[in-house]
This record gives sequence, C-alpha cells and structure tokens, in this order.
Amino acid sequence: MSQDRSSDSTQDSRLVVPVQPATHGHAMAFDRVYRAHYRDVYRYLLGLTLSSQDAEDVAAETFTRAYQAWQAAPDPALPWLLLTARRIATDRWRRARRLAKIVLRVTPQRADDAGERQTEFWLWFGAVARVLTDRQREVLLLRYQHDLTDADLALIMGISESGVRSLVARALEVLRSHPELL
Amino acid sequence: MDDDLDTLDRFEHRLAGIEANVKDPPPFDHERRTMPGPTRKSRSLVATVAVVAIVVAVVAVGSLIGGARPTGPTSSSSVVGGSGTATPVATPSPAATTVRTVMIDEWSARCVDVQKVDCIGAAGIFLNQLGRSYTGMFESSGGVLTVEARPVCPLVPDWADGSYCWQVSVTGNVDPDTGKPICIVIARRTTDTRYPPYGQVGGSNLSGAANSGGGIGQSCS
Repeated sequence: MSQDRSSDSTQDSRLVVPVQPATHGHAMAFDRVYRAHYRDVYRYLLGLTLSSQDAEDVAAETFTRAYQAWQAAPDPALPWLLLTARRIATDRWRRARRLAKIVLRVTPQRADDAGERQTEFWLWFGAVARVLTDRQREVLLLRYQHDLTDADLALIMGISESGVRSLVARALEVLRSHPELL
Repeated sequence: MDDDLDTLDRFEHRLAGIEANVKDPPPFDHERRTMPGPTRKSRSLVATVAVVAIVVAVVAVGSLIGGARPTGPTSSSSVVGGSGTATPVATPSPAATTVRTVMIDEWSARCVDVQKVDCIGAAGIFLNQLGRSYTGMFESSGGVLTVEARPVCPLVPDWADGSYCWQVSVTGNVDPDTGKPICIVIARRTTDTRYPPYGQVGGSNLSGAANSGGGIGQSCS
C-alpha cells in the first residue's frame, strides 16, 4: 500500500478535501480494497444504523477518507475501514441527536427507509434489535464477517478481547431466550 | 459451547438475509477523490431534523435580537390547551401579504404571512412526515412548499394549541384520500416537551400511520 506523493492541491468542491494525488499504483491498490470491502463496510453500517441511506452516506465518507489517508492504511484494511465507518456513524448520530434534543427537544429515531421495513428480513432484524443492545447486535454483525478475529473486533469496538467474547456470549444467551428469532 | 455455536449458526443463517440489502460498490471517482454518495434529495431524515433544528435556533435568536414583528403568534403567550374541541380565534389579517422564502435542507419554503420561525417549524414537521415519500414529493413539487397562516384551526387534540394554526402544502401531488392537493395543518404543541414544538393536527396523512391529530386524513381546508 505504498504510493508516491506530489504537491497537487486541487480542491474543486466543498465535498472534496485536498489531498496528495494518487499514483496509478495507489489507485489500483485502493480499487482492489474498495471492491473487496465495500459490501463489508456497507453491511456493517446497514446493521448498525438500520438505514440504507445512512449506510450509503457513511460508506461513501469512509472510503473517501480511506483514499485520502491511503498511505497510512494498515494491511489488512478491513478492520481499519470498519473502525473508521463506526466513528463516522457514531459522530453523525451523536451530532444529530444533540442538535435535535437541544433545539427541537426531540430525540430523533433511526431512519426507517422506504420499503425495507416491510421485508421479512427487516421485520426479523427489527425484532432482534429490540431484544439485543446496540453493542450486542454490533458484535454479532462483526462476528458474521468471518475474516475478523477477536482482536479485530476489539479494535473496532474499543473493548478488550475478553470483552468481545463476553459480549458475544451474552448476546447469544439473549437470543436463546427468544427462540422465535432463531 | 455447542449451544453457542448452534445459536450463532442459526443467527447467522437468518442474518444472511441482509445480503439482499447490501449494495455493490458504486464507481469511485479518482479525479475527485470521492464517490457518488446519495443525492441530496435522499438525505436521511435525521439530517433534515438537524438542519431544521439549526435554522430554527438561528431564526429564533435573530428574531429576539432584531425584535421582528411577528406575523402570526410565534411568541404566543395565550396557550389554549386543546381539549378535543376547536378553539378558533380570529386573528387580524396583516395589511399586506408578506411572502418570504427560506431554505430547509434542499427544500424551498414560501412563507406567506407567517413568521420565519413558525414557517420553519411547520415546514420541518411536514418534511419529517414525508418519510418514504420524501424524494418522490421533492421531485414532483420542484422542491417548493408553501406555509400559510390558518388562523382557524380544525378540531385539535389535547397536546395542541387550537388558537392558531398553519397550513403546509405542495403542488404536483394529490392526496389519494381526498383527491385534493397534499396539505397538512400544523399547530403549536402545548404539552409534552419530548416532541418538537409543532405537530400535525389535520390534513393529509403523509406518514400513512395512525396518528393522534384530530383532523388528519380530512381535507386541509
């Protein structure tokens, strides 16, 4: 994941942060990771935010940041991408909740996206979200990504490896007490 | 341990249903060093609430500092608690029609004889109610909605101040229930500070959900 750097400082819109331009090798390496992991990042965000719009937004921001910081991206990249995605999603949610709470005196709900709520999967996943805590749901989502180790999960969630294991165990215990969800 | 593995297997088997909802990567624009995210029209409603919140705060502060003369009752001190009965109060019409336009997210709200802070509050409720219709209605209306004073309220529920209302409408959309243009009636909330200071009390049922507004589902005017 090494790449050259030069001094281009093009800034063509407010959406684009000026960065060092990518070399061809850089772009190729990034493309590979982007294609390999976009769905992983999107899936994680979808399960986290329960909103395809938010998942799409945050995934876009995650990969834009990843591209800008590519020289610092570790290998394997997936845990780092998921950690970045988690931070962006958390920041957005906290910001929206704080503003809405202060000014409108309302606690915003996670967005319910068109159509999604009606499918069998989303009805099931909504029921899962009601019985598991956010962190329990998150750890199972991450566990679902079989390439991730306990250490990766710990890094992403900001807890210890033993914390990951106990969180998983507790989540499974809760699920067992709701056999209709299995 | 076996129990855990079995539970995890069964959970993951069902979780696999998420794959149908996971999108493939859109092309990444290396020139712009970004990727085409969702359009502004599809921005999440959480973001809309946040934007509305900021604008309401800024306008409210601006009104206080500037001592702007209200059009309609934003600084209303006469809280007439809605008790399920209409409490219409005639409000003097302004001498001349005042129209101002404010931007809320990507929407343009025409405020007709309505003070800016009420206009934004009422429009914010309208946009929040749109839910899955948000993008479609944005396109068919050209992103323009109109907020008008409606001094005489319909029957309002307990939480609403029935002494004064506002009406929010968009063109290009017809309410399938009434066959009339989409329109909702907004009143100030007098109770329950967990909710925004405005709420829908009449007009089109935009959310499609059973609601507590007394006149929801009925024609707007």
